[in-house]
Amino acid sequence: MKQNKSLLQQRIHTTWTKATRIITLIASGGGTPLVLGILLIGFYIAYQTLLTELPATFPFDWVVWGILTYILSSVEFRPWIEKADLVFLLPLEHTMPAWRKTAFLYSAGMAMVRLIVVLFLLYPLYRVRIGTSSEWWMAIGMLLALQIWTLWVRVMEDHRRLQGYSRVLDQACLWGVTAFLVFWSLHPYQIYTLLALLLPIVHSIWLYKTTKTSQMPWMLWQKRESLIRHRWQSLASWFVELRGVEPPIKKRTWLIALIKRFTTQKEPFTYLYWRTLIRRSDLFASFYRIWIWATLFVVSLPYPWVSWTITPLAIGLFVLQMPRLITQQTYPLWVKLYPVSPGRAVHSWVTITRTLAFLLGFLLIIMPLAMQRVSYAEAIILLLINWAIGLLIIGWNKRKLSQSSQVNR
Amino acid sequence: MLAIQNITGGYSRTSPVIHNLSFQVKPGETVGLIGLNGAGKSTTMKHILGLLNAHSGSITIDGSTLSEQPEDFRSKIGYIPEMPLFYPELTLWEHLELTASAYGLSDEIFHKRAEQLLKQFQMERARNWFPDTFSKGMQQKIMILCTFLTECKYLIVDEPFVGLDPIAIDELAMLLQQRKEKGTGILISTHILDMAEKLCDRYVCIHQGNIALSGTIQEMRSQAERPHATLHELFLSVVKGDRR
Repeated sequence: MKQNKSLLQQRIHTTWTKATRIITLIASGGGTPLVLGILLIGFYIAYQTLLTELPATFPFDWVVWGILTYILSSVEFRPWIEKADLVFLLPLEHTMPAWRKTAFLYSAGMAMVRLIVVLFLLYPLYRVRIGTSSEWWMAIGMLLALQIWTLWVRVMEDHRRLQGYSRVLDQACLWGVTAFLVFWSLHPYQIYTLLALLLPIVHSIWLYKTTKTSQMPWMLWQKRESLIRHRWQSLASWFVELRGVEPPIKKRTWLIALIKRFTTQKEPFTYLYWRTLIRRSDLFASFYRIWIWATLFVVSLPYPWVSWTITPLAIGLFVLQMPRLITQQTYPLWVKLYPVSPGRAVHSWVTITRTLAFLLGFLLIIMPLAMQRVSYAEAIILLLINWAIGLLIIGWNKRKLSQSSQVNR
Repeated sequence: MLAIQNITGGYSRTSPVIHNLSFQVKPGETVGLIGLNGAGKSTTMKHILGLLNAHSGSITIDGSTLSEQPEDFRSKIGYIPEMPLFYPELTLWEHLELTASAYGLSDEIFHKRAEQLLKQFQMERARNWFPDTFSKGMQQKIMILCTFLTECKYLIVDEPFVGLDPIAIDELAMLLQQRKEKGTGILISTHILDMAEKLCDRYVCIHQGNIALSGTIQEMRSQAERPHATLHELFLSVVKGDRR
């Protein structure tokens, strides 16, 4: 039992060490803190405007109630179960309650931190329009207790392994009870609030009596753990490139259908690279991330020179990253056996990169035009400059790739 | 003809895994490459495929080496690897489309063959699934389907029956037989000696990187001086050191 617990503690420690490294990397980067700073200031201004300009009749309490119900009900138990545990920990199932307890404490801690952040953000809204400061502190106490309760219900739910309609009913029940309790937490009318608390107590007794907790839902927990990890990794990959992390595959059927409809894919590597780009590669995220960042700069800095420098820079940044599509992806070995020359692989890369550079160039001038940072004539010149820069870098990369033995096809 | 002549090679120059191997695979015949784990079977196959460079010797297909005519050489070889290797971002159907596109199959032929293979290997319902949701046997079927979609002149098949269900084993054995009858030369590595006996015309028995026995079962019996031995007994006599 002790060994299990230390394995879990070690796992949590390793995860947080990695996370700290990633956060440090992001914080020490040039662009991200700047963009986040701009976003925070923007958010602050927008929030202030909302508080002062929305009419008093606006149903603030319903908004707060809705947000808190969602936060409390959508809580997730993080089990820390990995694939290999299904082999190595399965025989130690009888010792797993200690594991579950630690994992529960961890999940509860994280859920409470999340709730406190949300409550901190909601405080001005509550204070100005809904209740007093002392009522707010009372509500916080009740909501934190409620968060622990919803998490415990989630763990019980995992053990019950409900399927189909009974699962939907169970979910509806949890959301309903939580919504009811959040309402009473925000509107504490003493005796009614106390009566409302009877509901989770009765529900908990019933759950405790009817749920068998001796068997762990191994598969469910392993799947959830993997999903939680992917979610954090994909969030981090917005800001830094995470090497060695296998990205989750996104189906993106509609986008693939769109590409199939509008591009020629007779060449095998054109066919392959489009799918790799859209479903697996972080370059797809790079595409829209660069577009969003450039747009944010254009919106937040009201000078024409920003558009003239940022948009060509954005095109350059994107095209410079594109060779990774054929050099760094891990394509299976047997595809090297295809009777297709490396030259054709490079040609496919050029076709895709050119298409994306044209599209990005076009998307990048929309905001300068819409914000009237440039005139129509200037927009066309800017578009041509962007495309020319893109094509120049593509040509340079093509020569490099053609001479390189790194072309991984 | 696929000809392997005096090949010495491996993963490092200083310690070769295979030593001076020579054998041939003619069109319309199946040659079984048999040996223990680590004997050098997969290494030999990787040399034939050009995934490893030989220290010495040469490998030719119809007289040409890989470096002389790379596209022609590659278009004549189909490969089923021991471990399923696939693109996690492509569905089963997209793997087939990609293979068809690489080997230049027409749409009509592709659809006809692909549908038939999917049915034969009971993979129709999985056509739009991503392979990381497949069982190991199903993943191996992707390799088989992709290889049999093409009409290569030579097939290199590495432990193809591992992880397959009984129906798939029968279907694969039948397909290999049909291909052989159509004139395809097949080099197959397997531990399942009963299956090898059914499928193969000749054998190359490798032990510690050297050819210990080779030829038809009769020829191997006379080489081993055991006139009534089965393939199994011959194999055991080699690997247990009765004969080197």
